[in-house]
Amino acid sequence: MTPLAPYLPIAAVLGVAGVLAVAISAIATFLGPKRFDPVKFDTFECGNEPIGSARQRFAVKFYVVALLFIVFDVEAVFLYPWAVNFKALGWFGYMEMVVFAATVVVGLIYVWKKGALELES
Amino acid sequence: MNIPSLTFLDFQPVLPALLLAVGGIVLLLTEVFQSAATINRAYQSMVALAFSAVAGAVAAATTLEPAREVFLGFGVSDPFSGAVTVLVCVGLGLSVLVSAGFLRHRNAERGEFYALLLFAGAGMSLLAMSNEFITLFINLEVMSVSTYALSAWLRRGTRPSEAGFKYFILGAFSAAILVYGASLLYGATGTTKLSELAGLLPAAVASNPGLTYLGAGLVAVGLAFKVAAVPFHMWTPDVYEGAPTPVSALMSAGVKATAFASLVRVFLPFAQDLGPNHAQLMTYAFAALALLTMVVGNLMALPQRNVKRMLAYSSVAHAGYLLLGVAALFARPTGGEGPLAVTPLLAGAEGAARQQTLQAILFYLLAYTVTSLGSFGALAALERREDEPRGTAWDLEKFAGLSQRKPGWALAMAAMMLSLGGIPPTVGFMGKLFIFRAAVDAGLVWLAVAGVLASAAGVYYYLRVVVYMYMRPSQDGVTVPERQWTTELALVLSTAAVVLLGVAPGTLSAWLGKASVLFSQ
Amino acid sequence: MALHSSMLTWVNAAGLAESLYFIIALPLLGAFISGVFGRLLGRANVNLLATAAVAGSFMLSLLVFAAINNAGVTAPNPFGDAVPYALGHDYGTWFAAGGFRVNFGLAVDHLSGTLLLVITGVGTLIHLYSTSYMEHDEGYWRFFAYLNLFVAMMLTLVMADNLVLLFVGWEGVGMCSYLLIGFWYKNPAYAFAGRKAFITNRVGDFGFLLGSFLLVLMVAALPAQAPSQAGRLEAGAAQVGPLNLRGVGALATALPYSAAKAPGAEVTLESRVASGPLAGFTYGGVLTAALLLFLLGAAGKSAQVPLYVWLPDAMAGPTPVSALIHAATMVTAGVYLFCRLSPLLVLSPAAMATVALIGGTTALLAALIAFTQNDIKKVLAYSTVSQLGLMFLGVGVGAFWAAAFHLVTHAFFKACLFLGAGSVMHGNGDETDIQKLGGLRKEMKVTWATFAVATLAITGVVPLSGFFSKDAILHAAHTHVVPGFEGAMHVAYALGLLTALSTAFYMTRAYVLAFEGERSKDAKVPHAHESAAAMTAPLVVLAVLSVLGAAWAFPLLPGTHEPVFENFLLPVFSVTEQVRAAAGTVLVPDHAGLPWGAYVQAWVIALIGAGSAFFLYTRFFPSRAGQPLPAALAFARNLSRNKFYADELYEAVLIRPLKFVARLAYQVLDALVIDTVAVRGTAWVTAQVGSALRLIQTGDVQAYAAIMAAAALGGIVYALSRVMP
Repeated sequence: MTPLAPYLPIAAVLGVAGVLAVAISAIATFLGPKRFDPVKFDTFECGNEPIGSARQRFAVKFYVVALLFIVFDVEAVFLYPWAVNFKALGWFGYMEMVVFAATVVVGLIYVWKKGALELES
Repeated sequence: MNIPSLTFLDFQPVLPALLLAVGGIVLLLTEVFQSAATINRAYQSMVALAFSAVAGAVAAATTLEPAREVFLGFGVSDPFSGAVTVLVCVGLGLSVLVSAGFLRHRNAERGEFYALLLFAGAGMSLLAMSNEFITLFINLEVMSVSTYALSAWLRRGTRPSEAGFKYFILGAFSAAILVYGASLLYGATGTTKLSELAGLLPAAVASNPGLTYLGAGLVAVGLAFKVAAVPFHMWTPDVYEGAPTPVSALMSAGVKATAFASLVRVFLPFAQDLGPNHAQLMTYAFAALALLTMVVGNLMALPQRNVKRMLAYSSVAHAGYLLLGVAALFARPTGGEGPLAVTPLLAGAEGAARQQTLQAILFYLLAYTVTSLGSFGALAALERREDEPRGTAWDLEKFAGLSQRKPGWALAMAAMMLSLGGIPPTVGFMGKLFIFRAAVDAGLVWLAVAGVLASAAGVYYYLRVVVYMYMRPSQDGVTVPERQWTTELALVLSTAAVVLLGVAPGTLSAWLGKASVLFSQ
Repeated sequence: MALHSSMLTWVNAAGLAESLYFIIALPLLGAFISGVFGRLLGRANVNLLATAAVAGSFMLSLLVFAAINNAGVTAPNPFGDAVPYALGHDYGTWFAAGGFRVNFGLAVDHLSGTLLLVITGVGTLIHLYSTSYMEHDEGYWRFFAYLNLFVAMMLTLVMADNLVLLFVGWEGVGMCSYLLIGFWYKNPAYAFAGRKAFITNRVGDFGFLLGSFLLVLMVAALPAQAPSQAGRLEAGAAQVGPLNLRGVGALATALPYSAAKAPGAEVTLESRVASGPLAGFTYGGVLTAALLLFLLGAAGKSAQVPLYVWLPDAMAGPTPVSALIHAATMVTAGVYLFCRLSPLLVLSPAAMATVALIGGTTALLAALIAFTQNDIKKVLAYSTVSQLGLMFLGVGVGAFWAAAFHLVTHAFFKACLFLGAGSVMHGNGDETDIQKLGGLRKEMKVTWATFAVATLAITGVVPLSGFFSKDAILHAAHTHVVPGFEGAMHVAYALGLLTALSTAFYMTRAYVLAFEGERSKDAKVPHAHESAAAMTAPLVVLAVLSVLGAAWAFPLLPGTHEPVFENFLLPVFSVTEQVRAAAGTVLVPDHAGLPWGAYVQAWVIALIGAGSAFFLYTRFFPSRAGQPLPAALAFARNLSRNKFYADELYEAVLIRPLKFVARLAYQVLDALVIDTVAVRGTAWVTAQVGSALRLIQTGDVQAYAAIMAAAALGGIVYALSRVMP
């Protein structure tokens, strides 16, 4: 199992995450007040009916917010390692990052003008 | 720290993809910066067309250059990728032409539509060049996400959302399978680069065959989903039917073509001597897929009276013929046993035979691209938006007597049906001829016979459309939408291509022959 | 040929040989333009274009003809020494499969050169004539396109240097003939006539193909068995294919007649084939079988017994078509074919006797039918069948030059007769019944004069060409000796003499009824009018040629006793002569001047026939008008008028049983087995399976994903089971 040894920390993280998830659910189940209704029993699907005809329209506003969050979140995630290695990466890294950021900015301009940032319209 | 050094030579091959992406951004921004009151969208299709055309021309130049690695081996630039990009651009251009009229008729023309088309095209172009699993996956997703969104473009209908949703969910499922397979392969060989895979495979297969083949199998499943091979085709009819017709056309042409390009590229490292137990395993797998796909695709298209669904199943069947070519590509002249006892007729000329098979696949892809675009284009010209909610827009009855009402459209559709059925003098016939010949040359005689039989069954449902158009009287009160010159231009172009390339395929096939060069170590 | 040796030294023979295809290409192009753009171009342009295309071909043919009269001009011959007095060019492989190959090659020698001139020359005249004849027809462009196409195909037939290309021309002329017979397709009888011609010809073509296959098999089998004899044959066949016409000569040379005649030969006609599909049969037997199959083919195309029935019906086509296709050119293709196969034919006395008897029988039978025909075109049609029979008789007795000579003179006078008949119809409101004509001598002077000359020519009156060409055949039938088949040859000769007598009779009858006497009371128009110059000019030219053609029959050349035409064709038949001399199958007496005795005899016969007809139809029948005929005469007339019940016989013996078998086959095999069980059954099963498969397509995404996962799992488990150790 030597080749997998470097991945031991990841296994640890997985374990902690699993324990945490089970623990939180368990604590909520045991300690939380229980008032059941059908909506609560439903699987959460960003606001649309999980079971039934697929041939219907559904509100996308939650999706839009979630997607935009992810996009800019990922941008931030990318910016961190670049910032840490800023000097080592030099002009090459700088230009790469400018292109990346510019692309995201174009996206931002687009969604802004499109009105996607206004939740209620 | 090791700083990668990239030069202009690395960026030059991705120029077509960059052009397509820039075109998409231009369309997005010009769409939102116009005032809603005075907006004029007539320019959009022309911009999209122009960018596709320029990108195609640039890609065509790539096919004349020697194969090389770019971006540190994450991608390759070879004549094959250039040819696939040209093919994608041809599909994009025709699809844009059909879309313009189709969307105007439905008051749904927006810059985003063309932008998504171009983004999908950029993804396809890059996918054809990807030579590393992560790059491959990202480009696959760029292509896929754009097409998911495009399938649900006409969001006011019920079917489009169904189509988009199904495509997205199953696409995500298959993408996950593909990534999982790639990770297993990485686990087995320690690399994600395809160029290194070939050298590492023999050792990996020897020490850990289970992991290696599990990984390879899962990657194959992921790509088989994209090419719509049976039994991973289930989404095809529902999605093709629900998606806007020009988008179905692009899915059946561009997505399929690039997925095939990837399939060939990913599995080429497996086409080597991996030991006695492994001989012909890849051939076996692809031959089985091909057989299933050809037979089931054709059989399921048979009872269809909905022409759009029929074309969807037909697209499945055509994936089968192409898989036949892929199986021929991997058939190795090392003999074998079992029902696929391979006794190649071209022993000793593996390289030349492989190039010929690749040429046959490329030719078939191009033939299918123009024919599919043409047939979906004719369908798009004919369908009325008011029939869509009831699902009767694509009924065979709508074609009855078309030769009297719209002789030009009927002629184009007839040419397309003949080409799909593989009847001379159309390009579809030449394509089938090349593919079946490649299969026979590779020793897959029985598979080729099965393919011929399956395509004979296919002729029935293709000719049924022709029969309706030319031999059935027109239904009372059936009108056709008003003419759109862009759609008609697309019909003229694709009909001309189908007939001219069917009569004189020489120049094209010679060029594709030169372009049938894959980068290899 | 001293006369020609200095001629045309300025022509580059090699360049000319390479350009031979122009002769075919010109009318082909004309056909294409007339056919595609004819309606746009208008009548005058199509007339000009079509005629100019054939006339251009004629000019080129003249050039080629002049060139091949030079001994220095040779055609390449991969089977041996270059052929003198000929031009040829090989355009390379046409197709090849395994050891078999066919090259695309054209060649012109004295025989095909003569025919080139006949086809393009008579063709030009007939095109010119047609511009006037078809002046009121809406389908003029179609007509000229077909006619040009026909000329191109006929030229392909005679210029082909191999049997396959010859067959292309052979089929091509058949197709054009079909199109032109049914030209007025709105009349069902005409369309039916076209079909009859086509089907009858297909029967013959079958024989042609099978004959060719046998030749290929022989060429393939011979070299392994007799390497020293067949070396040239093998080398040549590898280069240009086994069906090359020079290869026919090489095959004949490589096969000695018998061991007695060629001591020490590895293989003779008596030996058995050692290998291949023919193993066990003797070469001689296979050769005879092949020749008889070719005879079947030739009988179809050239309207010989038993396949002659289509030609009289073919008169449904426009008259210029009858003149060009069904008199002058296409129907002589069978004779041409046998001239080309002559080196092989002289190796098989049995085949020769069959050809001679078939020819003689056809000649007499058709002549007897012509006695009572009242349709002027039908008379000429049966006359053509009869004359073609004479040519076959000539071929059968080994007088190839005489057959070719009669072919040429017949082209002149029969074309003249047909065009004359057309002129008569044109001037009399399309009346074809000679009973309802009469007295045209005074009203259509040019037509009358030319028709009379041509009638004299075919009747065999000295000194017109027909006399000499027919007599050359009859003389050969009388003097050539085929050992073992002397009896058959005597019969053939008798048939020939009777035919000559009959020909004189029925032609004189037709002429007398149409042109002499008073105008019939039943005539469609009160007064006939003479045709336009475009129609009469070709008549005059052809009539003159019918007279002048006789010159070829005389030994005019210094230092030889041979008639000019025989001498002229010597280079063509030199191989035939060598094979014949070696095999000793046909004994030809030496020429000793002109056969005056035979001439007198033939002349007397012609005079008896013509005189009796003249007497009967100007004196005897008119004086007995209204009285019943003597019983014997009435019986004979009935028999002849009903064409000896040949059509009825065919109907009862061949067509009805065939139709019965066909209907049975249709009902049992086609309707039941193929349609119901095989086609509909397969379709039904396929559709059912398709419908069943639809059940899987539920539209449920979870189900789709489950199926995908299950399939992936199944496939991978199977794959792993194969590779895991």
